[in-house]
Amino acid sequence: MSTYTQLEAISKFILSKPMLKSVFVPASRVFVNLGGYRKMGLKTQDLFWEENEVMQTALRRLPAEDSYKRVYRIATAFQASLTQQLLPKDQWIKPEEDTDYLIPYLLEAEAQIKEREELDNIVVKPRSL
Amino acid sequence: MLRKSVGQLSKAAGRRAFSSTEASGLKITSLDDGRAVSEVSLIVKGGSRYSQVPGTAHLLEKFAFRDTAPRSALRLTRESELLGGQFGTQLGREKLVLTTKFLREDLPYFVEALSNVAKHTQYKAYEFAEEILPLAQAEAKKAAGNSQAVAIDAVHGAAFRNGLGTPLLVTPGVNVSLAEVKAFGEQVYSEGNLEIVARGVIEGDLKSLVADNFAGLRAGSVQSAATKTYAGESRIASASPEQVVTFGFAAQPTPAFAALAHLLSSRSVKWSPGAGALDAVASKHGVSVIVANHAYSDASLLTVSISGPSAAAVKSASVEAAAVIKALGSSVEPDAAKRAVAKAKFSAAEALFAPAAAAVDESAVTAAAKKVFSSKPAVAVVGQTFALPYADELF
Repeated sequence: MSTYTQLEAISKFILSKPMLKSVFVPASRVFVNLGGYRKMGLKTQDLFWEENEVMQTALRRLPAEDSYKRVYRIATAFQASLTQQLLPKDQWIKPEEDTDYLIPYLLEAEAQIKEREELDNIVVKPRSL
Repeated sequence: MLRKSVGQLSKAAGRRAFSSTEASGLKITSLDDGRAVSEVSLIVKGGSRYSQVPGTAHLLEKFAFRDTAPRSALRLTRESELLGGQFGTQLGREKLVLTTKFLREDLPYFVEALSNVAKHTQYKAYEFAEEILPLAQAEAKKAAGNSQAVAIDAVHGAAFRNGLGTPLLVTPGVNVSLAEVKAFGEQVYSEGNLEIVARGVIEGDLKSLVADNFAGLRAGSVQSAATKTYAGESRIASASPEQVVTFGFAAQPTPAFAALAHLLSSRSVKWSPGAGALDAVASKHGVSVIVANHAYSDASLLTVSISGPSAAAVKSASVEAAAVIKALGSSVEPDAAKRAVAKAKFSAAEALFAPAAAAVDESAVTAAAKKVFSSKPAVAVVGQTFALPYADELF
């Protein structure tokens, strides 16, 4: 599985090349539309897999306000799923509302874990005195 | 023969054993004793005295050697372990001291680490919530279980109220926000506020490293209102088995005042009851008497802590100690004054980086005793407050 750090690098690369951008950005719009989660009140980053250390760390560090809103969105979507209905159109998540609210925390948590692994496996050469 | 050698020694003691210089606006005091281990401390004028909300300085102390922009806390710890170095912090009422200790050749690494703390600490929100706050609260809780420390803190509060009287550690119920800690840190780690003291380093090397690493510090320094002293009383009920009564005499920080501590309690030999005026009181009542001189830039506090497991014994010892102290206010035995002067001279000379202390003689000590011990002290009582004496029963 690729890490969030790799995903971030890939998306930056795509956005930096006009040709790639002109292909992938419209494709992503189609993907999101077919996915339909915005119509149930969810942001893209509400769908990320939660059961791992990086995500748990990021969720713990999320500001209380953002965390509350996230839980509210998930509860709303759950209700919409149970009742087999989409939300009214005015409650859909608009593209500009679908922010990267979790990514900075995910990247930081991943960087910390990576640094710890590097330091745990460091090979030290004795210094010549 | 003996007299001559003593004269030669005192001449040697008068010579400056350390050198001082300046780089990037920081005063550097250093001493090269040729050892393989070096010690470099960054002395920050940022103790509890300067924190607007009690506990800010304590939290800032815990933020030292944490994540900085160039190097994370984990990396600093692991790299220091590999280099065989150590770092630590110490918080006082006026000064926050960051100390690093390392092998001589690692000077550049640790000077850079100290400069990173001053210039690039990141004050991360999750670090504050996950590590800094719990650690500071645990330390405060530990200190709250130590009646002696509680009494010393309370007597500072009673004697100075604001400034030097601000509680040293975080206080339960007083919330300090991360923004306040960060603002305090940015104010405190500034050019006029820092000083470097080093031992076992070559002065020229240290100076050029400090000039490189500490360049571009914010200008400025912290200010605090001039200290005023009071004769208050503080009574703290505590479940701890130790009963403590502490007197605090506040005065200007003069060398004669520093010698008064030796007049009250003077123990030179292990297991001896001591020759100070209060040592006899301690052994008579089976309590412990600890006398300490807390010297600050514009005030000193001489604290006398009488403690023991029995409130009745501590009360009778306190009454007698107060009487002894009052008697010292009217007359001091010449022998006792002479002894106090000798002890004061020794402790002044023993300090590594102390500037040459002004000479104190017996008459100065007697005069200081007259002035200080005839005034009313601040009193703090910790333990079974119903059984321990009130200030007006003592002085």
